[in-house]
Amino acid sequence: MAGIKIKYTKTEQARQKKILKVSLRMLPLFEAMEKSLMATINTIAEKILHIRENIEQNQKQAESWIAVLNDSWINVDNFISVNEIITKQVDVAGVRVRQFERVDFNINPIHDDAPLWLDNAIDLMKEQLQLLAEIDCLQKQIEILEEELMEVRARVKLFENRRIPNAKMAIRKIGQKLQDDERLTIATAKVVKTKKLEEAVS
Amino acid sequence: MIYLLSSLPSLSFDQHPPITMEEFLSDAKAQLGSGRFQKLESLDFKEVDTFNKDLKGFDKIMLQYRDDLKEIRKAKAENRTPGLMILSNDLVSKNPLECEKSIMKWQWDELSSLEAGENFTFTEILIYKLKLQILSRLESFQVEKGRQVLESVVNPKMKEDNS
Repeated sequence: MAGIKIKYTKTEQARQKKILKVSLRMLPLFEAMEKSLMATINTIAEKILHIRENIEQNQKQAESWIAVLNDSWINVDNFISVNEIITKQVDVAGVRVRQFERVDFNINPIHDDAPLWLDNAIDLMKEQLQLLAEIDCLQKQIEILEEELMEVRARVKLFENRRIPNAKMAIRKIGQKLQDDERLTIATAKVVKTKKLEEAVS
Repeated sequence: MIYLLSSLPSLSFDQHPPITMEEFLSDAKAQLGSGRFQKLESLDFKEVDTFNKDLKGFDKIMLQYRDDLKEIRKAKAENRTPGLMILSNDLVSKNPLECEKSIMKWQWDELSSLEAGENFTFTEILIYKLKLQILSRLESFQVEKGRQVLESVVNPKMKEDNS
């Protein structure tokens, strides 16, 4: 409140009352938004953990045969690569983010004489690439939601610590000032009246 | 030929290659005539077309093997049991590494049966090269390097569509 000039007028008092009313109505909305964003971020973080578990599980399952991927006769790099990761725009907790749809792969045809393990390796790689792409997408969602959360928190703090207390104080001060002014006006009027009466009597 | 074959270390399946391909070819070059050496040098297990008549129909066996691989893939896509000509149906249920090793063992055994009755012949030298290729390939099946191959492929690049 320090440094803020208050206009001690009824119009200003009405304006401050309006600010207080709006702020008191907005605060619970921002608090709800904050809770919703936090819950959504937690849900996404849990989803990432779950996907990581799937990746580890796939890796574990492949551990018994992973050695064959280094087959000197075949370069698996030549058979699979990511063309692009397809995402779509969605609203999550009121925030616009990109949601993972699928990975578009470039898969080169496997010839009849290619070793059988190549099929398993490509399946494994496709699965892992899909899961990692999904994690990447979810992490970006978290980043965007965290930015939004910071903004919402700043707004909650603004309403809690400044707008509402400032408006309350302004209303109180203006009220006091207006009351004092009114009393002064009445007192002055009374003095003038008394003086006029005294002058009339004398 | 006799000297070359006598000087080469014996090979057994699933062992560390006792001689490198370069050493083998270098020895062979010194002992064989240029025509035969060229045949030997061009021979490659991965290329059935490089198999010559000295391999006594091994190319036909490998073509049948190729048909079996085709059938395994087709059966998998159609979710049915494959009807195989030369490979065992047990292969399908094995993990990819064990499956590949079993196929390589079968190839090894087929080469060994071709060797029967061959004493100090060019066929024996050709088979030696093919077996050495099998051993070198087996040697490449390494867990840590396999992991590295997986890691090198699993490295996606994000591109967003404008939907």
